[in-house]
Amino acid sequence: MGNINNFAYVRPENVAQALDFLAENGSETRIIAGGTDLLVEMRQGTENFKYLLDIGNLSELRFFHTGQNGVEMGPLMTHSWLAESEEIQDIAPFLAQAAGHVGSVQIRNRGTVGGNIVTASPCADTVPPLIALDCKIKLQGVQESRWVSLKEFFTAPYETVLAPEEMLTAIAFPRLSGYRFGFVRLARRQAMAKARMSIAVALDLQGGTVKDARIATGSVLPTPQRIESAEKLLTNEVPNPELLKEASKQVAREMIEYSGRRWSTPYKEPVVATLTERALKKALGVN
Amino acid sequence: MVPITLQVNGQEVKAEIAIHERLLDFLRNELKLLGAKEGCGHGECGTCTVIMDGQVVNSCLILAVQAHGANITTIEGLGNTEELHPLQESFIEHGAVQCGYCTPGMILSAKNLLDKNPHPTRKEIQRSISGNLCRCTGYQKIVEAIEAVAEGRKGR
Amino acid sequence: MSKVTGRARFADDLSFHGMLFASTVYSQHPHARIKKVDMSKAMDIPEVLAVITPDDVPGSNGVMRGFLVLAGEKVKYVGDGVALVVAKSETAARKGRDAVVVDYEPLPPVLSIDDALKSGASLVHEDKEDNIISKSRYQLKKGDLERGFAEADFIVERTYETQFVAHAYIEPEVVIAVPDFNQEFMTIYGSIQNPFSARAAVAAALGWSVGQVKIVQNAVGGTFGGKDECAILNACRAAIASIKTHRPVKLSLSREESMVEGPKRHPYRFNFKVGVKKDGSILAMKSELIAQGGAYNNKAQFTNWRASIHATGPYNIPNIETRVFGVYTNTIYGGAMRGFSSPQCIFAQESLMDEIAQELDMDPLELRRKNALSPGHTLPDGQLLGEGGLPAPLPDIIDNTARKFKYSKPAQPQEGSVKKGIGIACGFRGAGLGAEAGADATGAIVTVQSDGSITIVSGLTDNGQGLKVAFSQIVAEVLGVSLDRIVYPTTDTSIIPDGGPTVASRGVMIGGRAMEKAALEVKKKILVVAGEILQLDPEKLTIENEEIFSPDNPEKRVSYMDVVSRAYATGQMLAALSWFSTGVPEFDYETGQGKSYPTYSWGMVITEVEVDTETGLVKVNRALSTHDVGTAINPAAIKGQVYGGYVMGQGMAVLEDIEQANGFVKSKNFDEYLIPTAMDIPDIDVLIVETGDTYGPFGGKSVGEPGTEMAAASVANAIAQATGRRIRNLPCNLERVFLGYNLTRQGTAR
Repeated sequence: MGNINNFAYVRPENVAQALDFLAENGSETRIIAGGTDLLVEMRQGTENFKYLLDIGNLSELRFFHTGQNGVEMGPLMTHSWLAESEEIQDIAPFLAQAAGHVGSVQIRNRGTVGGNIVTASPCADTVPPLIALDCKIKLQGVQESRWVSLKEFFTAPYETVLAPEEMLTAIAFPRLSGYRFGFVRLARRQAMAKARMSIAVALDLQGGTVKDARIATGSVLPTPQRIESAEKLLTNEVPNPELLKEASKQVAREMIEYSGRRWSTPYKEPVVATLTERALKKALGVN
Repeated sequence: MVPITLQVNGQEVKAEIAIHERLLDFLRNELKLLGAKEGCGHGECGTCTVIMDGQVVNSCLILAVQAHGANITTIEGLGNTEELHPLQESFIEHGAVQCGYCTPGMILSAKNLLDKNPHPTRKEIQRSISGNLCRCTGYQKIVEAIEAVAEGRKGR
Repeated sequence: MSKVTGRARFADDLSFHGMLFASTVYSQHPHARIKKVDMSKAMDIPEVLAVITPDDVPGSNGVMRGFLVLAGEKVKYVGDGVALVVAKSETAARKGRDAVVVDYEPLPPVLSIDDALKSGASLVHEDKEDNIISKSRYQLKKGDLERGFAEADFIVERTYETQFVAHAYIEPEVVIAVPDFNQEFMTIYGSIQNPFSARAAVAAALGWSVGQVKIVQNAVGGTFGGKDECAILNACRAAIASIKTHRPVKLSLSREESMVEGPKRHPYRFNFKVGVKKDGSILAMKSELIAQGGAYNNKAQFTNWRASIHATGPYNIPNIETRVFGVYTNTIYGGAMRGFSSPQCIFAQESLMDEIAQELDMDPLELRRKNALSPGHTLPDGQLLGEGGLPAPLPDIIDNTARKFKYSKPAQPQEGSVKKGIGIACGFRGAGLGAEAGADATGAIVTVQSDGSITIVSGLTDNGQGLKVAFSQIVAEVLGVSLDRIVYPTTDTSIIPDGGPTVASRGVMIGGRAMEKAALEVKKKILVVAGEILQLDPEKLTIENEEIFSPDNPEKRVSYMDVVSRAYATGQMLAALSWFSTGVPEFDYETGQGKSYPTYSWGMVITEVEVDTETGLVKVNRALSTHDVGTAINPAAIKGQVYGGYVMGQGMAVLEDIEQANGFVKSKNFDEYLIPTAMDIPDIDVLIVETGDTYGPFGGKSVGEPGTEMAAASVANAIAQATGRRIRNLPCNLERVFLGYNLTRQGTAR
């Protein structure tokens, strides 16, 4: 393996201990849970931390509650669990679907939803559906905690607002009753491939009119985002093929407005529109 | 050095290990269980696959300290030269082995699938081994070998 | 058996008492002069025992036609080793590697075929006049090209290009050098495809004679032609480190190191000009082939020769001129890979056939059927097919394959964004090494031991492709004994003469013939002893089910074991070392005419794909791969080779590409270099055709390479048919299929 610098291993017994440790040493500490991202990074030899804080065994972080209002779960829930859970399949089927695309069986068994969020990769599979669900995450420090909207959590690829002394301790999203969901992902091969682009859509359709539209993207903008300008085009409208096309093109326009024309634009511009249109159609159940 | 205790192939193991040591290194270097192999060190090829607490994992992406308290099964824990596991027998019978480098991981992924889902479809079989790369066989005979066990054409 | 229980031992599974670990310091530039190597910081690391530079090479630093054990004056690509750090642990060796400071003076790099041929291009090898690989030029001339063009109704000109493809064996290269206590002998264990080439290079690097070096082969985790130059250079480095430290030294490459340093499939550029009649007959073909050799090359002269014979495909073209050469570039280099230039040639050639069919508005199957080499025709090299010549089964293969696949051109245009396409590729493959490098020969030893077990040794090696089983079956069959009696020790270069490399599907054809010959000699000896016991003429005896008898008088028989006992009791040897050679072929290298190969194997692949035309994503649905195998000795093993070969070709068609930017390799691991997974495979059916060829043992012809060489072409043709747009550069990735051209980070498109 790569160059392993010397670091100390810390295994707290509970969340309180972990937070105490982070309060003291947060800026020199890396947190490990499943380890599927961190061990790859360590192999590259780019890590520079003094302490490795292993939260993998903290049962306080492995929970799932569902009620009338929504879902609250711990960051240690694995991708395998998300993909197979009947409750997730019922409440947010597109999240289950997205989780089922992460890496391989082996990766899904170890990799956690908290890790997928905190690593802040632009192509994290579970993040677009979570953003479409209006997910909020709990960042806890030793003194106080705050709930942050997931769409505001990412500041740049692999960068977030998480402070060194904080830890992600809960993930919550409302139950979007009556919504329809769609998720589309494009990758170079049928399994074990990073998403080239992904689109998650949630639509509230009442009497044929879109009351609420949410379109969240992965690997389209530098960070996973909602595309509000495209959502607006759909809101309070009766969807028709032209409208869906227009909203989908808006996602592409937004991408170019944000990132400019780049080497990949000739491909991504038309394809992101296609994928968005497919995700919208999936949500609407039309072909 | 950190002390760990774990179960490997049904036996309790206690050891003092370096923090940066991966589960793969620990199994290979300390326990001399050489069936799990390194192909990429990146969680992409699956040759290091072992079963940890009932689930397949890449042992190259797990620190040995993280396996403290875990129950691990490696290929050495399946069958023996006297009596092979039905999957092992079926792999031989179906010509599912060529160079053999991916075989231990492949068999463990297949076992884990059949433990959870004794009668998988062909698609489910393909999906269950999609984290195990093979460059020799084109996978077809591997899928056939697993199918044969699932369909009971090979005693389980 | 040991492979399913995890007990098979690969090189990385071996360890020796006192073993040290080494790690190579690789170049930081694609092309640069080395000004200074500062190893002081590395030597300060407590567990580091030595840092080795070219000055420490006791013998020749140059091995294998221009490769360097370690680069001393300048680096020619990013995989050049500059120094070697030897330490007590692998971690320390790698720490030491990172602590070696090398001062470079960067030079302008030569990165492409065009760069290499530009006038005033900088020289990759400064001791050479230009960037053209010496001895890589070949030509084939048949008929009268200009007359052919003049008689044609129209001319088609096209250019195609292929990419660097990795072998992507799942086991990266590992070598261990173990010195004997007197430092007079060196044993190398490792994932090495060709033990004899390795022995020669290690001996040269040590300045020893080849007899002092012994290569012992353990289980090898796939090679496909690739565990050669890079594995051998690492064996040389480990051996030198071992001499310097008096300890066993292991060098185990990470996936990233293997991807950067190791050989790849050569990229080729093909410029074709074809003269065609309105009825579809091809009258003349001119082709220029340029191989991108990379920084070093000891294979282009062979891959190019093969290409010169095969470039125009299995078609009856009366007038041919083919020219081929290779160039050096400051990039990763080309080596041997399953198919050995044929997958590239067939992609180009069969794309061209489809484009000709399109010009003629003719069914591609029909065009192939019309031009297929048939009995009475002559091969590009002039050899006769049919009566009095070599078998020519292609016309039947085309008909039978199309029938079995239920081939029909999908109706155009198709509804919806996902479109189906069916692609065809035909191929022929000269068997063995042919006239590539003189005579093709190897040896085998068969020894009946006193307990009745039979030890067999081949000069060729089992790299996972099943030679061990094939050889055992041949011997058991000839001697009429149970397969359980056969013992096949791992290859050891000290007990059998140099049998050349296990390449070019020579395994069964050449190795098997040698094995068959040795077994026949032993059989003769067994029958002599049996004749003594039975008081019968040995000439009249036969062995079946371990009993020797005369068919005229089957009552009188003696068991195999009784014969063995008597032979040992009476001091008669039941062993033979046999040598099989094709002899030096009659071949004119100026014109490419003569006996290029003793025989050819023929085949055809049909593939159906589904293309998502709105994203460029290709799904390969089903394929039928037809192969002429002479006589099918082991149909199950043939299918296994074809399945694996097809999927490798499929990867080349749609996924695989070593991305390089300014000479630096971007796809270093399996997250960037994508090979097909179990989810990507199509339904593959195999049609085995027997031609009664007498060339291989029991008439068998190898299928390891034919299995892969036509797949990429058939996939590419299927994609073009589905989309109506021809991709002339591999791979047909998302961007190319969608846009028609590639996108790269530097913005250059091809």
